[in-house]
Amino acid sequence: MAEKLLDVQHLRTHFFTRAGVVKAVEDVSFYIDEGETLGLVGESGCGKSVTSLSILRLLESPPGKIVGGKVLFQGEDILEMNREELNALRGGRAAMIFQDPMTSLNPVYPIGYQIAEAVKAHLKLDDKAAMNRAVEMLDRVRIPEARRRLNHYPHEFSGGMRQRVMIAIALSCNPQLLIADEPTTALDVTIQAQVLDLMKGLAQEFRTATLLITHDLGVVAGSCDRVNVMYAGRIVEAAPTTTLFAKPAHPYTQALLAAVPRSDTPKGSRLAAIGGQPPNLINLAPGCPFAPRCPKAQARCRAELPPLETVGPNQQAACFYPY
Amino acid sequence: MDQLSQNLPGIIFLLVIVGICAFTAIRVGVRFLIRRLAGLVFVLWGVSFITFVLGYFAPGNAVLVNCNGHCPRAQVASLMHFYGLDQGFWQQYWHFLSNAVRLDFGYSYIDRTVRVNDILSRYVPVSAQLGISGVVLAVLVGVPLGLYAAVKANTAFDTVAQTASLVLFALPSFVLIPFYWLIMINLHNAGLPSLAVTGWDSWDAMVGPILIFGAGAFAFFVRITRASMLEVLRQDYVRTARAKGLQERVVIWKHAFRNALINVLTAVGPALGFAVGGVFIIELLFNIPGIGVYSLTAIENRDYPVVQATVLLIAVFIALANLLTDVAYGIADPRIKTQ
Repeated sequence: MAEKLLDVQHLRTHFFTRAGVVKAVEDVSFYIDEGETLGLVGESGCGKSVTSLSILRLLESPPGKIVGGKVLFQGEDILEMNREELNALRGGRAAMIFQDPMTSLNPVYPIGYQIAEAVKAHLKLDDKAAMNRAVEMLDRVRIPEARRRLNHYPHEFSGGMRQRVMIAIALSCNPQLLIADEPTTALDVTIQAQVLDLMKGLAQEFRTATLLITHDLGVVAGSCDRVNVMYAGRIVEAAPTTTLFAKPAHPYTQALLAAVPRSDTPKGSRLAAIGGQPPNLINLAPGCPFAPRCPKAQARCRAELPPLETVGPNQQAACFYPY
Repeated sequence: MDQLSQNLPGIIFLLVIVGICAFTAIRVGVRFLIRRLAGLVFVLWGVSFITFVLGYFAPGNAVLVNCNGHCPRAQVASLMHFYGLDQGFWQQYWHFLSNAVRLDFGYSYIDRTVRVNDILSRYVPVSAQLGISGVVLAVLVGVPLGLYAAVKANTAFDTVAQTASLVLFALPSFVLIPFYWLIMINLHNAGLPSLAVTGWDSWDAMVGPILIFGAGAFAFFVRITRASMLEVLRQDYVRTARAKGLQERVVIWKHAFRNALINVLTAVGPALGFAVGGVFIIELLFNIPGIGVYSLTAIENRDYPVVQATVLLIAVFIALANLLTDVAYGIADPRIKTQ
């Protein structure tokens, strides 16, 4: 088997706050093969974004700190890289798109400059070639009149257009890995679909592997080869997308899927919800973090932490009583 | 030729204003400029009216100042006529306003042979030198220091910079000046090199006043730059810049500082206005022949033409400083232009 493009092993990221240590990411392992799209889903505060930021070491520190694990990118540990190696990787071989396009672009520079800047940093092109590349990228993310819009500032673009610019920046240096942290959450639904299709299409064209972070299972179903489900800082289930939707193993995944509104749900019926609240990540009780909300929980679940184990073909779940 | 050299400061002043206006029109737009200039004219008119009214109704006049109230009747009449004080309120006001537009403020009440403009051209440059070098120094040192303190937030450097700027900010110049004197006098007595502690006639006399005047503004700029940088460094676009793999130097200066500068710029105008009061105290304590001290004397002597001219001058200065701030703001922030 070919070497994994990204191999995250036992990643642990904690936040050191006055209230205590928040264990936002605890013992998270996953991998992405070249060209594949991996979804990382979970509800707000489960550690998805922190995981994605930890990969490129973009967490604000303090208070955030990666306290353990390895992030192997083509065999090299990103966590061990020096500043120069890290800068060459970021935006070059591995790029990232963020959640809020309204604040992710610098308001005082034209967008052409902001794309060309990344190009110049990694591809060693001169100003003119970099600008041409910026035009090409704007064309490819389907921004009309690309050359004229080079000198426009971010505030002259809509949210969807700005996210396209972010995608243009991210893909401008042909990265092997694209990390998209809730790229469509801040956009309205019609624009979401456009941006997702665009991202999917370009990722295939550029042969870029994608780590797609989202809380939207619909997005996962439409774009991902495999899915990892996170809960309370840990991965609780990992499976190919079709398997996950057909045969979810973990009760949390089952509950998530049950909560998705369907077009065949009778009109006027109540939407399903998961009772209770996600746990406080500062003082986690021993045992399975989902146990307090789990309909199948037994005494063992409250005493022991279930490890992530293979439960079916290509399917892993952290549950003593799967399916 | 002689007339040219006499009017040179005025000509330079006008050229500077024209330059600022042209630059504003090109960079930020003609409509913006017209709006601001109209506002400026209104402010100046208001200030001139108030100063005139104060001068008109305040007790004492040119005659009392000239001869302590013991002048012969004929001399009183001639003096009143000379200063136009024998006219009615509106006539006097019209006279004052039409002359002020031509930058002519008449003659001093103390001495009818001395033009107010001559007094201004003698004393204003000294104050301007002190004020401008102080503020420029404060910006040149304070802004980079504040930036560095923000980048190194919560380290020993940051704590020292913050504490020092807080102390300087809290200490008024009339507390700092005796300390300065104490140090210089002790240095002098110990036979070590020291700087002059009074006057304005040599470079070593200028160092103390400029440093002490700049101290407050310096502390102000350290604090505002630090606060502004800290806020900007948390922004998403700074993270984007890092995610592009840009060098930290580029992230800080190009992406963060450029945005932080917008906040710093908005504070420069008010700071300059605030600085005017500071100049007065420094001039007084260091015995510097500036317009601040002179206008204080003029108030005591009821030399109203000088007071009126000084107040107007300060108003022009502050209004221009604010206009410049807005222009700079328009240049630094592209969002202003299209709004």
